[in-house]
This record gives sequence, C-alpha cells and structure tokens, in this order.
Amino acid sequence: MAKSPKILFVDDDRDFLAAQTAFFSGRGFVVVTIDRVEGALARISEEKPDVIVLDLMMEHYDSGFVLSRKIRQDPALAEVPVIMLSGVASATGHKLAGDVASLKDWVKLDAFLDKPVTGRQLLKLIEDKLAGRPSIVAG
Amino acid sequence: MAASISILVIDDEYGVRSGISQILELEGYAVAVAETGRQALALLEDRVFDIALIDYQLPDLDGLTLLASMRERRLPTLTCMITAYANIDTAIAATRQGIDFFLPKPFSPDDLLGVIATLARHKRLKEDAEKLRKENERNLLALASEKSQTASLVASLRDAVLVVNREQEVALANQAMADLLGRPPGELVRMPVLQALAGEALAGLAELVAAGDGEGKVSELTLGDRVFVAGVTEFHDAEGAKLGRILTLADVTLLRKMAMEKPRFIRTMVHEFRSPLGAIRSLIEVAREKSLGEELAPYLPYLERADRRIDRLVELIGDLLSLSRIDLERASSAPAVADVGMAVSAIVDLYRPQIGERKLAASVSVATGLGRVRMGEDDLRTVLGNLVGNAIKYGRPGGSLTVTARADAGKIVIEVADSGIGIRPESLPRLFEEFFREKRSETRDIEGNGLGLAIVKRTVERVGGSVEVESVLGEGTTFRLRLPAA
Repeated sequence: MAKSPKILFVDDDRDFLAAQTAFFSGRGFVVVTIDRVEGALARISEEKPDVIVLDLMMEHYDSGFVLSRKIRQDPALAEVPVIMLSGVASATGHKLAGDVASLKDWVKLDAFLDKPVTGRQLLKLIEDKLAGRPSIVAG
Repeated sequence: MAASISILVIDDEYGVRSGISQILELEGYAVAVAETGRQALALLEDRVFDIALIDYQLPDLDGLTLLASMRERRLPTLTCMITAYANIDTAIAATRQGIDFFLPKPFSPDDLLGVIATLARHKRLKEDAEKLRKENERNLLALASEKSQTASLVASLRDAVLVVNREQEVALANQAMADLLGRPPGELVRMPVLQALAGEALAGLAELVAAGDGEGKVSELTLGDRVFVAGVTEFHDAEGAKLGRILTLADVTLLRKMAMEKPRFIRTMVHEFRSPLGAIRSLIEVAREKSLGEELAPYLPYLERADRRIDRLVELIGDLLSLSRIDLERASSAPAVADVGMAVSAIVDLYRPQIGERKLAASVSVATGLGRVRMGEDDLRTVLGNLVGNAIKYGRPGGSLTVTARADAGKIVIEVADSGIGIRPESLPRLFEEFFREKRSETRDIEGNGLGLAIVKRTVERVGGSVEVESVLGEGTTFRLRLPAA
C-alpha cells in the first residue's frame, strides 16, 4: 500500500473510539475519531477519509441516518464507503435487518452492522470495501 | 270457613239477639252480642269483627249514628242493617254511612245466612284485593328502586353508555357519554341516534349503532387525544324481542399508551446493554489482538475503561431491578415509616466526598420536630440519594446544594435544589421517563443511565406521594417531594 488508509469513526462512545483507534492503528491504519454530530460533516470533508464508520444512535435515534444522507449528498464524499453501526437493530422495532436493502438505498449505506461488533469483523468489512469487493452485510 | 268469620249482633231485643246468635253459632260462626250502641262500640274497640248486624233502632244511639262512628274509626268490619222500617229513606241514609247490606225484618234463618254468606264472600274479596294492592305497591316500590339503582349504576359507570331504542332514538345516556358528545344527558334522550352521534369523528360509531345486524360488534375510535373501544350489543325483552341497542365506549388511552411504551422501553434497554457491551468487547480486543505490542502496561488503561463500563452495567441491572421491584411490591408492601431528618443527613454525609470534590456549598435545613414519612427507610434513602446525586452531577463546581424539609398540610415537603446547568423546558415533561437523558454538550460527560428519576417518581407515587421539578436553564433545578406524613 502506497499510503495508510484513513478510517474515520463517528460515535458518541469514547471507550469504543479509544479501542478502535488502538486496534486499527496497530494494524497500520490512520484513525480519526469524531465523538459528536455537531460539526461532524465539516470535519469529515476536511479529513477526506477512505472509509467512514458511523454509529446510528448518536444524540437522536436517527442522527446517524441524517449524517450519512448528508455525506452522500456531498459530491466530495459521495463515493466514500459508509458502514453503519447500531446498538438497536435486529432485535428491535427499527426492523433494520429486514429492511436493510431499502434502508441502504435511502441512505446509500454500504454496510450495516449490529453492536457489539468485533474489530476483526469490522476489519474484514473495511478491507473488502477498500478493495472494492462486495461483502456480506451482517444484519 | 264459617269459624274464621266473627260476627257482632247489635239489637236491643233479647229475642232477636239470641235467635240470630243461635242460628249463626249453629253454622259455626263466632258470635258476640251487644244490647246497646255504646256496648257495641266498646266491643268494637276491643276486637275486630268481620261483620256487624246492626238494628236500626237502638235505645241509646240510632243505627246511623253507630255506623258513622264506626266509619270514623275506619273499622274494616262489614255492616248489615236490620230494620223493620225498611223504606227508601233509611236505605239511602244508611248507604251514605257506608252500609254494606240491608236485611229487612221479618227475615227467615235462610235469609240471614244468605246475607252473612254474601258478606263473608265480600270480606274475602276485600281482603284479597287488599293483599293484591299491597303486593302491587311492594312491586312498584321494588321496581322504582331497581330502576333508580340501574340508573345510578349506569350514570356512575366510567365507560360511556348510550341506549338506543327500536325507533333509533336515544333512550338513555350516562354522564360519561354526555361529556363525550358535549350535550347534557337530558338533551340526548329521545334524540335520533344519528343526530346524537353526528360529526365526522363519530361517523363510524353512528354506522355501527345504526347497522341492524350488530351483535357484540366492537371497533376502535380516536376522539381528540383519547382512544376508545366501542362495543354495540343488542338487548331483548324476556320473550326475546329486540328492544334496542346499547353502545359502550371504554377509554383505553392509558392501556394503549402502556402497550406502546413497552416496545420502546425494551428497544432502549437493548441499546443500553449493547452499547457498553460493544465498548467492552472492543477494549478487550485491543489486548487480545496485541494491538499495542507485547508489553502489558499500555493495555491497562483499556482494561480499566472496560472495568468501569462493567460497573455501570451492574448499576443498570440494579436500577432495572429496582424499577421492577417497585411494581411488584405495590400490592404487598407493609406500612413503614422513616425519619426525614435522619435520612437527609445520612444521604448528605454519604455524598460528602463528591460535594467536597465539586466544591459545592451544601446546606441542609430540616424543620424542628418534623416527624416521619409513611414510606420505607430504604425507599426514602433511594429517592433522596438519586436527587442529591443528580444535584451534585448536574451542579456547577463551586455552586450550591440545598436540601430543605418542612411540613405542609399533612404532607412532608422535601426540596433538593442546585445552582447547576438546569434543564431545557421542553425536556421537563419527559424527565421522569425511563432512560430519558438530556443530550447536551454539558451533559455528555456526566454518567447516568436515565433510570434514577423514573425510580424516584415510581417510589414516591407508590406511597401516595408526588415529585415535581422546577428548572431554569443555566441557573439551576429544584426537585420537590411531597410525601405522606406518618
């Protein structure tokens, strides 16, 4: 790899961010973390990440969706893969698992993962995204 | 049968008296005799006779006067006038005094017995009629009281009730229904049902009631902010003929709300578990994957973070158990009392380290001689602990924390006030909901699972108390408990 790929995490759980930073830095990635929605879009544009990992449940239940819509609407970021994480997916009223296809279409998500997610799962997904490989979306 | 009839013979002539007596006694009648009008009255005073045979001519009173005094006394005795001077004038006069029969002298024993038999029959008929009248009266009374019972029963039903007759008119509407339809019950009665249930919101209801084939039909409708389950039942008379329909509306708003809240509660709870578990797993994975090299030391801060998250999960489980315990104990809790002054100082002492750390000026003021509250010691401490803990967490360093307790109209009022960051007005209505936390930049570093105030509210409401909050954003918050005094 010519240059280390940059992963940008947006999540309000600072312990989660600290762990991801250690895990992915140890594997040669550049890691940037953002812990609030406010000002997130500007930071993302500035950082020009290679992949974005977003938490669905930020300040509001749909903060992650709204942010990913905005990312997709930004021409400079439109092609960056977005992976959505959620603590409230398959087992809940959001019914995201069943609706992943339509939801992904609406927010143009590349993948959707339920928390708790392992670094290894995430790593596999990120590597696939960066290589442009189709990946199986966990539900 | 004859024996059950008692007869008084009033005649001043010994021959007539004894003759009549003998004839009647032979037939089994119970006979008494009187020689004069006064004697007769004395006897009549003494006991009840079924029949009196009265001679028109008596030495002291005439028959008419005797009849008049008998009438005055409202005696049930049937009367028969015996007179030799039978003419139309005496007959009219005697009839005016309420004479029942007339026996002209001379008469044969058969004449006498015939008259007596007629009078006896008369008496039985009169008795039967009286019995019937009394029974009827009783039935009417019972009916009236049953009717008024039914009416007050229907009136006091919490469900709204509307009875519609075969002519599709309102036959009865209780107060709850009148309130819903916005008309007094009296105005609704005899109103065509389609008119009573006019309006778009009620259109479905009017259809339901008007439809001829509805037995036990149930549907749901929303009126304003309330949800009702509407049921229509036909009612019939004893022979099974249709009399009309009864419409009932049960308010299920609260039930519906509870049903709606449960999935949300569970969804939030799932999130509250998954998020920390995700963080813990990631923190441990850093060490497992040796992301930071072979040395142990760099991993310790990650493991400590994981450990803290586990602590908070344990707290969360404890709080969830508290919440469910409050509901479980609702019915079975034994009456308990707790000393307010002692509980307040115990809690403030418990938080002394945090108060010192945040450099808060804490003041406690408990009214002298303030007795005890009617709630468990542990419950009171849980409630106070949550409020004082919040006042410290959401207070500003160097600010104030004030706890006061006083008696007020049979209640004990405890206030916990801080000079902290305050609460947004729009958050106040949701403040006591489970898992509700204000997400603001000032609150993001404050730990909490959003269950504390829910526990406070449920605990005080279970003992008949209440909690309210006043807050000015950026200036501070006051929680006020009103607890029943012991």
